[in-house]
Amino acid sequence: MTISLHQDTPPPPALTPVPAASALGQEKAAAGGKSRSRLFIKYVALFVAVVGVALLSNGIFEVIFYYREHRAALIRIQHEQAVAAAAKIGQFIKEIESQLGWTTQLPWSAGSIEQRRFDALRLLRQVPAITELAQLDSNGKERLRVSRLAMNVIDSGLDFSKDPKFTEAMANKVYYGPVYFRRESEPYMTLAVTGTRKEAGVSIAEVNLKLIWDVVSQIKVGKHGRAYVVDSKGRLIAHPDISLVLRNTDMSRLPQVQAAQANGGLSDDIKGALNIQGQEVLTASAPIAPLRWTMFVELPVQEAYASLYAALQRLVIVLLAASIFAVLAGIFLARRMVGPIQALRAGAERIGGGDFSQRISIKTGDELERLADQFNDMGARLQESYADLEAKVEGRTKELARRQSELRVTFDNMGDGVVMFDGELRLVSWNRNLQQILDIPDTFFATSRTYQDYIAHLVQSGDFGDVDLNTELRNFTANAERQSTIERTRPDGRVLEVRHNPVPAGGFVLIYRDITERKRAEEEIRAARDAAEKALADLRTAQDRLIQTEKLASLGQLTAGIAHEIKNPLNFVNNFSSVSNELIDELTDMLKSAAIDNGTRREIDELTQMLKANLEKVVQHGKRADSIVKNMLLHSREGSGEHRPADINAIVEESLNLAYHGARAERPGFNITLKRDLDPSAGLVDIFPQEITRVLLNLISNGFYAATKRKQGEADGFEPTLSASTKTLGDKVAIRIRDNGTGIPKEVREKIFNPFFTTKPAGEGTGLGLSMSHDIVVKQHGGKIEVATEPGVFTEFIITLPRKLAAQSDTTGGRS
Amino acid sequence: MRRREFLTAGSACLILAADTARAEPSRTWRVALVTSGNGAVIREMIRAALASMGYDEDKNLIVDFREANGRYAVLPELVAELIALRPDVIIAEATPAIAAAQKATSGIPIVMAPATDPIGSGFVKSFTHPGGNITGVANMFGDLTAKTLDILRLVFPNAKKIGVLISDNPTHPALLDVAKRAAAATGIAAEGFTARNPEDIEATFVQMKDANCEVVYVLADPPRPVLPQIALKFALPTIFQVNSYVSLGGLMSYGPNIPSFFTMAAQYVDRILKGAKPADLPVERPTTFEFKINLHTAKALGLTIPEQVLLMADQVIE
Repeated sequence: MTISLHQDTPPPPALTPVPAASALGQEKAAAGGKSRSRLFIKYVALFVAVVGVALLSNGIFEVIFYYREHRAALIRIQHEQAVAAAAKIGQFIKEIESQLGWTTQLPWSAGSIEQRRFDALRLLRQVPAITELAQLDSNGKERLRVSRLAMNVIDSGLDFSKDPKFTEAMANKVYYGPVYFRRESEPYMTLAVTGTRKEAGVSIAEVNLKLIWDVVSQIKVGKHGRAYVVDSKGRLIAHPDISLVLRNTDMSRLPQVQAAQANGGLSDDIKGALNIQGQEVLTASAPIAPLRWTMFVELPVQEAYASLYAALQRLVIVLLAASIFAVLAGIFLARRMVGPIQALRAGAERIGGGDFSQRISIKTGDELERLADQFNDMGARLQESYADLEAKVEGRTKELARRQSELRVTFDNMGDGVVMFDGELRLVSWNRNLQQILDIPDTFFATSRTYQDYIAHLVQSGDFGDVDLNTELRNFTANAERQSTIERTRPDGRVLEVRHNPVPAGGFVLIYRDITERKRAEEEIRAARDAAEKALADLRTAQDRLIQTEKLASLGQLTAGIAHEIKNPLNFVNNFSSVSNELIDELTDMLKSAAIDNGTRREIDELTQMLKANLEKVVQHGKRADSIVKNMLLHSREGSGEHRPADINAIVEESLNLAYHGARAERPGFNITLKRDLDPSAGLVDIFPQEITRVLLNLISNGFYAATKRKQGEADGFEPTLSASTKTLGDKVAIRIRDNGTGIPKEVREKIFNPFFTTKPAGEGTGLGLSMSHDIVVKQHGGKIEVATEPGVFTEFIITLPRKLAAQSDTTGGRS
Repeated sequence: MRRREFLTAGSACLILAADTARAEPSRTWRVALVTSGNGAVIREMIRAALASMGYDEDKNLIVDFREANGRYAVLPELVAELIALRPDVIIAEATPAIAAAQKATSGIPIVMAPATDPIGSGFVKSFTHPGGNITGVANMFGDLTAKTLDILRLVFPNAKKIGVLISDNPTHPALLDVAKRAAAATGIAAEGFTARNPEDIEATFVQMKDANCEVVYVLADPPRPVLPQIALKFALPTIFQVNSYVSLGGLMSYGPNIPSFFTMAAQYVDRILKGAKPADLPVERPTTFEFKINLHTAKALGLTIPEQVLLMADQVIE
């Protein structure tokens, strides 16, 4: 746990145990409420599920078995009805058969035909189904035909002896013809009967089966059930709806009819079978034996299952009632169960929340009550130990507070600014001095609590200068745990020493010390020392320069002396060598006339020529030496002399030569390409020739130096070049000295005309050349000297001189 | 809420036996009845038959009734009047009325009550499937035309000439032809006499008497109640196809039971009003035929009826 040492500023974040605990308590309470309802729902749901499953399974089983039994019973009943109806139809036919029987009692020999005719008519009266009656004798001849519709015929003599009506009847006593339809509409059947005696012949009756309607329409099957008769071909013979019969309806496509016919008139129970009207029906069938007809009894499923549906309805009501009861019982039981648990939970929660005096009162007399008692015991014991603990905590807290206040005093009175961060980079503590040193307002600590905030504040207050906040944050956060000591300067100029010390338990301490005064003292000492050292160095340089200048001055005098002394011997050399040359010519002329053998003459010629060549070389080099000496004398001559109109081109030419030879004399390997572009119209200019020569010499030798220096740094192929040009500008003349040397850096260019400024190594240059040149051109001649340069490419000095020298007679002589 | 859901679910599971007994629509049906002859009796029979099926003229039934009284020429007019009343069904008694109704409408169902030869008259395509807006009862008089001569011969075995009374009824020429041929086959001469309207009957009887007809065979036609009395007046025995004449003083008849036609017609009406299509309702024919004899008339004519004939008779009026 972190303890804040700072009490009069907003408390650091970590020390908030009380609200956290209360929040935890609330959460617990919420969780408790949820779990309670869950438990309650669980109990109720379980109870309902158990009761519901039992009831439902029982109900379903009952329904299934009831359905099966009911259906089986229905089918059985219907089957019985079908059998009974079939018997009735059979009876109907049998009756006709037996009625016919008595017409075949008498043999044809006995009794008159008239009697038989009346018998037949009587039969028609008695049996309305017979539409026509024919009587055949034992030979198959028709003797009599009586009809309801046609005229009676006696002794037509038609031969039926091959007709199945006769043959079948004779063979089997009775013949049931196939069903046929008169006018495609009314079903008829031929019924032929023979008497007990063969002589009696055969009676053939055409039976109108429409009259079976009376039979089938009387068969009651339930409320909406029906009985109907189908012949062996599947055609409808009798049906309560007579129009179906008259329409000659073909029933053979019905599955129940097909099944029955395949099964000899008995059909299995076919589920979902539809009748001819498209109703779903339960159908049973029975064969009508001698006729190969089938009796069908059908009952609409709706009606058949009405009682089943009623049973289902009852079942659902019972289930509903039971479910409601189960829910209520479940709620009651769950309340009984959950109530004590709820009390226990609430009690435990209050004990957990610190209310140890809480006692749970449950009087259920079961395990729950014992559990509550144990809770109470536990609460009592907790209360005791808590009181003890509280006393100890109080003592320790007081001690801690005292220590804390001591520490706080020390902390606040420290000279340094201190700030502490914990392992999560949260601000833990700080002292007053920190705020003073870093100008951090109290409001900052009221809102900001992290290292990031702290760094951000410092960055925003400009402590680190113009830096990117995010970059700084990253840097600081990354290095948060690293030990370091740095110094930095605040924007107000104060210097701080920042010590960054990690704390072993995580986190770190930053200690700030204001070292501005110390730094300032140090800085002043260093500045003083540096100034002294600089002065000393300047002094040395000046001294060196002076020595150099002195050397040069004495060298000038020396040169002048030496040149003078050399000039005389040199004149001898020159004069005598030219004289010797002439002498050799004379010698040669003389020898021409002398008698000398050819060999000797040839040798003499060779020798004289060699001598002559040697002498010419002596003359040549002597003249060169003479020129050099002249120049040296010219250069080292004292005083500026007089100003006079001088050929500027000649002066430039002379200066080039002098400088070149000078450089060659100084460095034997020296080589440079010289270019001249001298304006012939440059003409005469009123100048101090020596002074201008000095200027040119100076500029040219500087150019040589730069070009040579560049060649040393460049690869092969670089050709050091120096060009000199003149150009007339009317009343002015411009002289340009251009080299392709190293050029002059920008920072140097400002200073090149300063006295004693030189870039050459000590001892090589005096730093006075250009300064002097400037003075000569500008002050003595009223001209201009400019420089154009590009480092690494070229340097060009442009001297512009007026043709007429202005009246500046006060010009000093020259400079040495 | 749970309980309600449970109930809903439970009732959804239930497949309650649907109560098929739907209440009769409360609309009033309009039935037109047109008779070729006198219709009062027919109307009463139709009313009674419909009433037995739940059609009550005080509640849900209007019967518009027109009778031609044997004057077939007025039938088109009568039918037009009836159709103007927008009937649901037309019951047309006998072939002339049916023919008039057929001409007047092809949309309103027409119930024949009865027709003699529905196919021959062009009323239906077949007995099984009439195919148009006409269905109903066929009386089979055509089939019975010859058979009646059998009955005639039972009482008059020695008759040589008979007169056949016909009218403008379109079926009559064919029937007359059948009767003539059947009579010829049994050695009897038959001659047709036409009485266009009921007023003409007496004159026709004069003609038959003049032609030495021994017996008058009255072909089926709408009833003309005066007929038996006129026959008695001329002392001519009459044999009818329509057996209602016997009770009015006709001597004999052989034919189907007439009132049953109207009962059946009422059944057709019922089925048509309940939505059946006339085209799909097969034409029904009678299955039983009655032989009636009026001994009172026989006595008046001085005839002796053999015992066997009396035994055969379905009804003997004394």
